[in-house]
Amino acid sequence: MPAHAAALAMKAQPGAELACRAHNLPPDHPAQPRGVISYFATAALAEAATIGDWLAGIEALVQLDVEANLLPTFFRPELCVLGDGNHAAPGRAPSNSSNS
Amino acid sequence: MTNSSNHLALLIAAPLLGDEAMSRDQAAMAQALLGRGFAVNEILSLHGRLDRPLVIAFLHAASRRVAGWSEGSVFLHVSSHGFFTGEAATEARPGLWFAATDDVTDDNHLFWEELFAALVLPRRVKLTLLPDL
Repeated sequence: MPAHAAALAMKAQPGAELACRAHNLPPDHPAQPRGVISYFATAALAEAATIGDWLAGIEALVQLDVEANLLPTFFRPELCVLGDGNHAAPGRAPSNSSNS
Repeated sequence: MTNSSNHLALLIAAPLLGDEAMSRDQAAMAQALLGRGFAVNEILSLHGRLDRPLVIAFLHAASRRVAGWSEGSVFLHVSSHGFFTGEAATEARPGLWFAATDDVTDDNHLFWEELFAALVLPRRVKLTLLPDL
């Protein structure tokens, strides 16, 4: 990845076989057909000032769906920030943010 | 958000036959970006039956668009199937996969390193990447 870049990407699981692991939402999820990562990322973007905020928002929304039994463990995205977590999220940050 | 008014979103979706999620993801991302202050002409989308030449041409076009920027930000969202070569993480070469066959021809895939090489950004233009593959 270029030095001036930051990314939200799937975590590499220690000891796991190499695989492409992004999934679509499960068939009984009300928002399907959507990709799991894109679904939660688009939903969480509105309130994110930084990439780190964006990840935290995604994880919060994922947890809500897990608790509502909408997202079985197999589908749960395990994301991480590659690069600087303070890197600005795309677009205009929320007005109550100090990074706007 | 950066202080610069220069920003550009690049949305790439490479569905295979029967994939509905990727086009919906791309549409949803465009809508989310409009909600974040992007203008319509600051969102470039590439969707459909893609191959290496198409994606590289798209990235070259984006590179030309930002070539004169002294600063700014580019957001890249990729919805695609993925693949990799190599047996271990240390030697793996991951990439985007564009075909529903096992025929690994040059036009059916694009390694990430090749994608980054094709997207040439000025030194002070930041890149944000969201891969969904």
